[in-house]
Amino acid sequence: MGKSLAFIGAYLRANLATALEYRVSLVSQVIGMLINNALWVFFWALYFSRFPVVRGWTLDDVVMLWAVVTTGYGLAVGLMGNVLRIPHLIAEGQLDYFLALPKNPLLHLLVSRMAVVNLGDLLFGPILLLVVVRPGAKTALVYALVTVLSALVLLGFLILIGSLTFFIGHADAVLGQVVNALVHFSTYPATIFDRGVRVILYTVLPAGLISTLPVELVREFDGIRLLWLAGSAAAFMGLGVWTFHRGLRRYESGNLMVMRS
Amino acid sequence: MTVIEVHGLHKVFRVYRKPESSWERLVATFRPRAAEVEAVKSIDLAVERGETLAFIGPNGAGKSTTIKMLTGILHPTAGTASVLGLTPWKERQRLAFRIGSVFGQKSQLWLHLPPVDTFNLLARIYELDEADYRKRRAELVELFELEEIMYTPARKLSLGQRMRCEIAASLLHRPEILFLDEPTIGLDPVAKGAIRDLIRRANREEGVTVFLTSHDAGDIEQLCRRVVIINHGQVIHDGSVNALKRDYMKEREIDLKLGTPFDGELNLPGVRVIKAKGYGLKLAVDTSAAPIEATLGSLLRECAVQDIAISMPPMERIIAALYQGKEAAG
Amino acid sequence: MTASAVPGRRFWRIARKYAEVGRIALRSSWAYVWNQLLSTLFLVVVLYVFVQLWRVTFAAQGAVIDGYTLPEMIWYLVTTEAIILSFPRVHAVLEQEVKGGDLALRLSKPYAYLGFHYATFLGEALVKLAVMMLVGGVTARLMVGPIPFRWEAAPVLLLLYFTTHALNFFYIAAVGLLAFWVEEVIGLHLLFDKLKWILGGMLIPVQLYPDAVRRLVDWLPFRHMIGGPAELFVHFSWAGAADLLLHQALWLIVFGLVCTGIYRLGVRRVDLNGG
Repeated sequence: MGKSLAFIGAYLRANLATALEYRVSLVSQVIGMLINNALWVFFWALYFSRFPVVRGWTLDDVVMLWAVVTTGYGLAVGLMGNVLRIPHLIAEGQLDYFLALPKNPLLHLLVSRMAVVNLGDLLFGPILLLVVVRPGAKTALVYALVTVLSALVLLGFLILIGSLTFFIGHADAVLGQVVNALVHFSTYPATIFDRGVRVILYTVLPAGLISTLPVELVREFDGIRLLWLAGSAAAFMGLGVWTFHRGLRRYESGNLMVMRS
Repeated sequence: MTVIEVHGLHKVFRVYRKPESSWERLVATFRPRAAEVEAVKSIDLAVERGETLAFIGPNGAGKSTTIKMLTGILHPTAGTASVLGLTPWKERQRLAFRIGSVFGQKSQLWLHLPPVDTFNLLARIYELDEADYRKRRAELVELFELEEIMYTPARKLSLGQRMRCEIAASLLHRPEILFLDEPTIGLDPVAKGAIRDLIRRANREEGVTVFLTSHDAGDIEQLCRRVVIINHGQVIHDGSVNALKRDYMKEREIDLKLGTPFDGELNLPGVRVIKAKGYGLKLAVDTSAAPIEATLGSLLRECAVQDIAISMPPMERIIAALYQGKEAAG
Repeated sequence: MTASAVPGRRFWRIARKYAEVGRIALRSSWAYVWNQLLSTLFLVVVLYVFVQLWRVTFAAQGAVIDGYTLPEMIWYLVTTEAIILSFPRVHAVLEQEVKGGDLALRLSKPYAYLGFHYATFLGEALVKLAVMMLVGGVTARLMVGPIPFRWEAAPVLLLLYFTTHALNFFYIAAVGLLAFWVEEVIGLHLLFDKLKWILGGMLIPVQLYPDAVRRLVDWLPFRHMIGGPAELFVHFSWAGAADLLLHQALWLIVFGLVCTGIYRLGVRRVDLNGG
């Protein structure tokens, strides 16, 4: 375990060092994303100034939602920068590099790259908390916990979707749209949707799990909801990792569904 | 001690034909059309510790498929292999700790960081003990003369400097076998010599078994004592480099400059025209068919020779002839 | 007697040639259309989410909010999204050309360079606009039903799209051209783009903004770049059209000057520092 942490730490340091080599680019991308997110929060401020409560949700709740979702996204996609590139890595045979090294290939490929532009997302949550929400210690702790769990649900889901490339080939464009939809849905409280859609958002397309459930936990911390969120995180991570390794076996046998002419 | 032992290694790929029209694409989703490609038919190979082996063949011969099976990336369809006592595709990660690889066209170094950072990262990947690692690193820095470039971002280094760092990096964890793929590609002759020197030293002083793939004949000649040639998924030649040179020493290349353009008629035993253009004529002469002085005499009589040069055929041609000759033989 | 002397056969050869060209063009545009349709899926998702949000809002507030009914609110969004999504990645293209260095060599006259790009982007944008309006319109109609639409207004609206496009183009281009000075334009682009969104009434009509913000918005050009045309689409009036056109014309002059100014300054900088 210690060795794995040291390994991950080394990669994070190396990735950060690389990003800092191009300081101006790094800063402009981070600030750009911060502003992008801030303007969405501003939109919600405008909306709530006119309609103070929506299905039991207030501006405070939506602000917390954005704090959770952006930082969770920054953790899952920013730090594990290769997670959205899994289809590409598989299709281009670039997994071979990781397979030849003595580390778990999934973990290795995930940490070996950082998506610098999403570091702005990572920072946005804490900044929101510091500047707007100004929570007490307990709330801050709950926030940290649910954000990490939310990130795990997202990460597991993305690994799962990406690993489908092992089985169905280059479905990059469709996968991209699925991810887009997920991200978009997760920036709205799931309470505005009707029952049928909500079921989907809490299972197959876990937008509700990564956004609404964590916020409900921050509003009112209860054991059942926590169990639900933690369980989902474990389930999605487990499913994602399992799918990846099943797919890897197909890859190693060389019988990928890759269309060759 | 045998470090690599391969018996009857066999690999068949199922290749899906790319659909041509939208209709085919639709059908293909439900019933893909597959063809079977035998990338590796049957390979037997045994490599001893400390050997320097060149593993060559034309493109598409099954080289990279074989290497991928030896490093555990691919599972064979049939056959067995044992690398350092381990079955590669079953114990891939365990094996990965004991082998190293260098790819001439793909760098292991992080481009924007100085090599020392990549070394530190590799130390974590290979779980090296800190004190051990530092000592080893210092050793390699001295051996490869990297003091001045260790702290410069890799992208600012010349290709030759980068390759020195790459090879040093691949030796950090003291691998028992080093797989090299085109290590000198793109380098100038001086840099090539330096790299070959370093690999030789690693082999001699640390007993690292060298498994080299290269299209550069110089690499093969200067680095390897043994050469295995693979084509169409099978081994077509396995012997020492010296024997290869000796057997083909019977061939000579004669470069002629003529006074009148060549008319296309040359009927001498063991003589084959390689190239005829204008006033130049290049011949391949098999000295086992006729002694060289007889052939020379006939040439001087029949052609208006103004200038002449005689040389041994380049390694490339030897190998190319082998690829083709064996192909013709079946 | 040569084959070409037989008129019938020659005719078929030519016909086959053009049929082949047409077939290839169709196949390549089919791939393009497929990509387009996939990206319109994003539009459908956005619309769906907003319909839910507004449904909930209207249910709590009543049938009309600040002069907008639920269908009108959704069709407003369809229009703003279509306008925004129809835009190709102007800033990226310009940044690439500036960094590449060959723009200064190619065209020394700013209006020629910018005009050239305006025309190219306009062509692509019109196609995208049509697709977005179609998909968005069908989605909106299915989810909230139609709104009353005066067909005689259509040509005016189309004309207004040209001017809207021009305004947006110069705005984005000006930011893209900052590539002459700045290493990475993406940060600035995101900033100016989102500013335009918020202050232009991208997601909600500006009428719904609180007073203080509304007053600010009136002074800025953004409303005339997105919200204004969308408002006209939903609530058409000839007076409104004239008003919008006037404002757009004024801001067009300003943007045009700024943009060409940046271009001239930038090109000169390249000349001074060398390619």
